[in-house]
Amino acid sequence: MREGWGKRAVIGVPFIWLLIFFLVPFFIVFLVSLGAPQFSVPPYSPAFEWDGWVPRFVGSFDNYVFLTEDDLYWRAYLGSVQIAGGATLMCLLVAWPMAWVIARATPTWRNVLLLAVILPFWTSSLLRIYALMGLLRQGGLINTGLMWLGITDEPIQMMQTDFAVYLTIVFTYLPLMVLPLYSTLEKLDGTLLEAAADLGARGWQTFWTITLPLSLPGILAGCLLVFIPAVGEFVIPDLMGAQDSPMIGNVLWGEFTRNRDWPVAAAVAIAMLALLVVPFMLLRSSPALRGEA
Amino acid sequence: MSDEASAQEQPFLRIRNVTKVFDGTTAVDDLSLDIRRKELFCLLGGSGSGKSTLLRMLAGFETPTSGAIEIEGRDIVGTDPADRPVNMMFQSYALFPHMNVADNIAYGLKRMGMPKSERLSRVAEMLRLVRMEEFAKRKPHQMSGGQRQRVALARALARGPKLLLLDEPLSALDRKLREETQFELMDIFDKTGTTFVVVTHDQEEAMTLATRIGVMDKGKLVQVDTPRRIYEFPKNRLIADFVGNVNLLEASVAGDDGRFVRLDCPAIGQEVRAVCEGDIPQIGTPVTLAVRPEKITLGSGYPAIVEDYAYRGDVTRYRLRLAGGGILDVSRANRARAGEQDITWDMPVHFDFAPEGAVMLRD
Repeated sequence: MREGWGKRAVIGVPFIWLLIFFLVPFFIVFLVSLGAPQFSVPPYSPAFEWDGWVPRFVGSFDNYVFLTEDDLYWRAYLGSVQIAGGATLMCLLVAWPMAWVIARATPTWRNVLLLAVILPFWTSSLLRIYALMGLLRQGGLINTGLMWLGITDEPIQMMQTDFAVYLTIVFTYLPLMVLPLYSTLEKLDGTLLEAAADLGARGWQTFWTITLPLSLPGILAGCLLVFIPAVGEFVIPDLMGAQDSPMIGNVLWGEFTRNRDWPVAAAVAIAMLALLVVPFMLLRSSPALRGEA
Repeated sequence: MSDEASAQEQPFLRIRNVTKVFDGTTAVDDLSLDIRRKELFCLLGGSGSGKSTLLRMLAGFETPTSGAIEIEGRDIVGTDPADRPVNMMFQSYALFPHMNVADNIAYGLKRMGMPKSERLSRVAEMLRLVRMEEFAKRKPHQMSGGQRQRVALARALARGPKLLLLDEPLSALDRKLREETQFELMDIFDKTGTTFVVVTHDQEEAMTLATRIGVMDKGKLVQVDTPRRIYEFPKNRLIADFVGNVNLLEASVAGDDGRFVRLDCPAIGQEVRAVCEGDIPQIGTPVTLAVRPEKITLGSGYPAIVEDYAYRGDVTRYRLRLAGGGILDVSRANRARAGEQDITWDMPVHFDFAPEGAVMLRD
């Protein structure tokens, strides 16, 4: 019995943590999204009024309806998915060969290479973004170098473009893709590749039929780890992106701060979460991806 | 006529002066071996004897440092594993975990570009051969070790290789299943007519399966012979000790009586006779007398005292203290149910063995 309680306590602590710091705030945000903006503290009308001890619902789902009416939100959402999806794909294309090389390296080299992947993670991502800005801006290192070499006559516009956003997301999130891929590829049994060669497979055939399918769990984990935070990313598009293509994170930020419309901002947040989480939960429960692959 | 004769006598697989060095350690040392067509050849040896390295060189996963490997007279060193008429059954089976049994077997056929209808019938044929028809749609992790072993065998045989390599084919199975599978493997060997090269550290497995055994030690072949000759006439102490149980007693050559060699064996305290392969060494040369426990009879002969015994069901194993101080193991079949317990601890007994049952070893 006592052992049972000990186990429950160990498992329970993270759950309580999640309850207090995720579920409760989530519920509060949801309640906020049902109100209307007003000049007060806090700046929204409550979703419930109290008749003594009995709650009475006075909120509405108008904010959600509003999200569908103004195409700003749809465009921002689709733009975010597009940028996050594209960046995730690029991350995957860069990270897979890296993870493969690390997984196949000798133990000494493996540690060095892993450290090289993780090390940038130890510095603030904001610092790394500013470092990239220093490279990309009009008078930055790349443009100066290109002009000095005579490749271009005038600086190339790289800041405030989608290119800069993609580049920065790939740069920032790369370790999150490399690490799960590495852990899957590191476990890959080398004799399977020998067996494929023995059965007549060429290098690329072995890759398509054995190595890639067996790395699917790592690909899926890495893509989720990159895609989900990238969709909600707001610092990178804010600092690197063009003003006319906001991502959903920037819209959210704008509603909270510039517009002071907390209920709409909350509705944007809830809608984003629902639109992101539901498809992934369906994906996770599909046997093809969850299973033995 | 002589051309025809030499073509027939040409060995199917010829390993010529093959050496493999890894970072300064010699795994296979100037090894030469001829294997005939349709032979089931066992490479027997302990870990680190170089037997697996030799097998991997035949498969093409390792390149010899020097020497040649010929199949039907054609050197295959440097040929990609994919292009060799050789397939391998891996010790871990190496079944592709994301494919079902049928897809695993079809894998090698697809790489050959075999048309689908032909492929399906070939897969069905292979499944029939290893009696796994009803498991075609199973994934590897849904099967037992014995079933996986059969699928691995079917997959390796599907392309119809000229040479099949088996790396410790039965080591992952439990004892009972291993014995059944040995006979099944021989049955499949007879049906396919492929040349098999099996690597094993299990002498019993080698004895049961092989038409010939090559015993390896430190990268060299110490003896290549039929299982019977390896067991009955081991070339040296190492082989005698490795293959089965044996009593090894120090002795010296005392003379020659025509058929047998006469040996002075201080442990037994008397002169004994044994088989000597080749010329008899000079009188007084130190040699080893090797006698298998089952070749010794209890009753009359040389005196000894029972130090210990162990009843094992089919046989009883006696440990005798000899007159000269040595220890001798004797194994006696329990033919009748009762009456075998007449011999017990500290009892004086007499033992004997026929000279044909004892072998003189030079080293």
